[in-house]
Amino acid sequence: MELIKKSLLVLLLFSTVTHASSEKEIKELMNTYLKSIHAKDVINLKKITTNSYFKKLKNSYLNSNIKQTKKFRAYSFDIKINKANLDKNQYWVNIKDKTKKDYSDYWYIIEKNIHSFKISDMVHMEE
Amino acid sequence: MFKRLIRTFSLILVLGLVSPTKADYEQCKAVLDWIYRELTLNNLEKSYERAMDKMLLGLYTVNKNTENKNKYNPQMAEIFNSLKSMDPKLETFISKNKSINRNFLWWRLPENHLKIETLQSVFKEWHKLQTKEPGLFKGLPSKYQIDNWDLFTIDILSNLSKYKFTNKNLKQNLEQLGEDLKSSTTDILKGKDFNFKSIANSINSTQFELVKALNNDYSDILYDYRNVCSKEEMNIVLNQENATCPLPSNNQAIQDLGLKLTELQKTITNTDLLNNDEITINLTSSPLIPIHILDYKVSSHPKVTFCKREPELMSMIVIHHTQTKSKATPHDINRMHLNKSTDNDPWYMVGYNYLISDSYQGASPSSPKVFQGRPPEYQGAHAGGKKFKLNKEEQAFFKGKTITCGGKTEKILNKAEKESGLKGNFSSYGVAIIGNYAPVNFEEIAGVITPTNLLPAEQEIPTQATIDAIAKLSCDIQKKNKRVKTIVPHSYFKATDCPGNLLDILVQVKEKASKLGCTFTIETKRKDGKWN
Repeated sequence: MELIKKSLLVLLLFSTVTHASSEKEIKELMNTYLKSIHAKDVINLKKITTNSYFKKLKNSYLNSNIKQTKKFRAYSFDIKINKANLDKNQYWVNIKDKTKKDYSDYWYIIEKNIHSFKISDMVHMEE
Repeated sequence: MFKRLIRTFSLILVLGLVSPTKADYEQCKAVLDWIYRELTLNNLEKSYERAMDKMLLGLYTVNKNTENKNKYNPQMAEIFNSLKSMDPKLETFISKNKSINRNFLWWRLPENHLKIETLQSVFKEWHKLQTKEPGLFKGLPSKYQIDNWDLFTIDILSNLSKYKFTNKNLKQNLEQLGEDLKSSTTDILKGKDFNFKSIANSINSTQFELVKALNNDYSDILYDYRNVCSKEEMNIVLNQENATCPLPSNNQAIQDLGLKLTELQKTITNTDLLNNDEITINLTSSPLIPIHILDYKVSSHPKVTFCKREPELMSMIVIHHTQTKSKATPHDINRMHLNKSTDNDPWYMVGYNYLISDSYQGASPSSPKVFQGRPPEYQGAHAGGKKFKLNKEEQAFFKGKTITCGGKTEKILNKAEKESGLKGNFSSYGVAIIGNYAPVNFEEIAGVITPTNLLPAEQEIPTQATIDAIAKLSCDIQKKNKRVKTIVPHSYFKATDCPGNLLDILVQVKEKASKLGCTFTIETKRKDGKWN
């Protein structure tokens, strides 16, 4: 019985640590994403997004004439991370500029693979 | 039976934990999970919905097949006579109503007629009638006729309703459903159209109360056993003679459970009802556009709640686009909405009440189809954002009216005061057109211009067929509920690019609806501007 209790505690501790680590990694991923968008860094964007997401990004932004005029401010954003209810390796992430009051209705879908996190989609949905 | 099952679950749980081998324990968990996922929450809801759809189709068919035929029908009369024992007032009602054809007189039957006193008895008799009088059901495919699985489902439900006396809503809904089914049979005997809408509402309400009751009352026991094994795995467990839970063989409850599981396994093996077989109901009142009912997965999250509202509270239709590819299915949207849910705010199912697709189930751009999302008598999750303050007229209207959220009934004025207003979801139907109708969009975050709509290549132009579908659906909604007179875009409630360029066609929707005999006003901003 004692062994079971200890195992449960270890599991609980492990899950908390894992979650905290995931949040850190996702924040880092989103920072890299913004940085790569700013620089139109195709190689990096390919690394951190899925093929389908990259294709959409190419059509909507990379092939456009949009020019970044401001300096990228690293980690200067607020982030909201929710674990998906059904798909257990999926996270719903919303980011906003620190100066803005509200989050938008756009959510990044992040898939967790064995070794890394990747942005797989963006959906529009009510907060 | 449910009470016994729940007790049995607990027993298995306790005994399973002290079982000698890990394999035995795993098998027990597998059994419990199968019961949970395949028999209880998910499957019972699915089976119930299907049984009720089939009953409606049956009533519809019998009604059609007996139109203008004043023949004495002993089987129908037998059911009718039995219904009399469920409702003592029925006889008085009949004797006073001279329009009833005397050929249907129930007293022709012997005194020892059947006594149908519960919902499951009505279903059983209906089942028998299908065999005795196939002519009544002519034109109804056999897969839509009541079978053993439906009888078993209703059996579970009826027992559940007897047990769960504390759940007043569920009990009331089941009673109401019984009443509606009775009155429909009476109407059929009288050669009249039965009240289809009332039964459909009754069924939807009962279904949601049922799921809510199950979620509320049993999730603490059952929630942990999600995602452990599949139906196929369970079948393997059942087919192996030695694969039993490590429990005493003389335990009556376990023996009962074993028998029931074997019975279920046989039924599942012999029926195709658990396939994704979606039933379309054509309303007798000839809607302008049919509404297809789908079998959605729903959240089993223990914290999930939803609000039930009266049709009289409804006043507007909110137009959305899903901002997805147009090939996304209503099930895809449902999954997205279930996934979005957080621990503190889980969504029960798809947030829209209706979805219009131009690709799903044979739909095409020239012939879109309407699919029901979250049943309309339940508040949707689609028009959050600002809350509106009640103006004087609204305050007077809502006085004394109530809404039921999470099983608790509350006065609307109290709710509005407590929450500093009401959200748009409260009094509106959410209609979503599947597809992306918005242009590319950008947002500045941390100094970076970031794209927020990644589907510019997919941006659609609303077709005339889409406009017609929205107009017809809106008109059908208004025909059922005269208070619904306003159509608004999602952007009425908050700063959003939803519904994209569908915003531009709302006037055309209004004009088309007008040609169909419906009157709507289009509003893009709240008139008195009172938002919180």
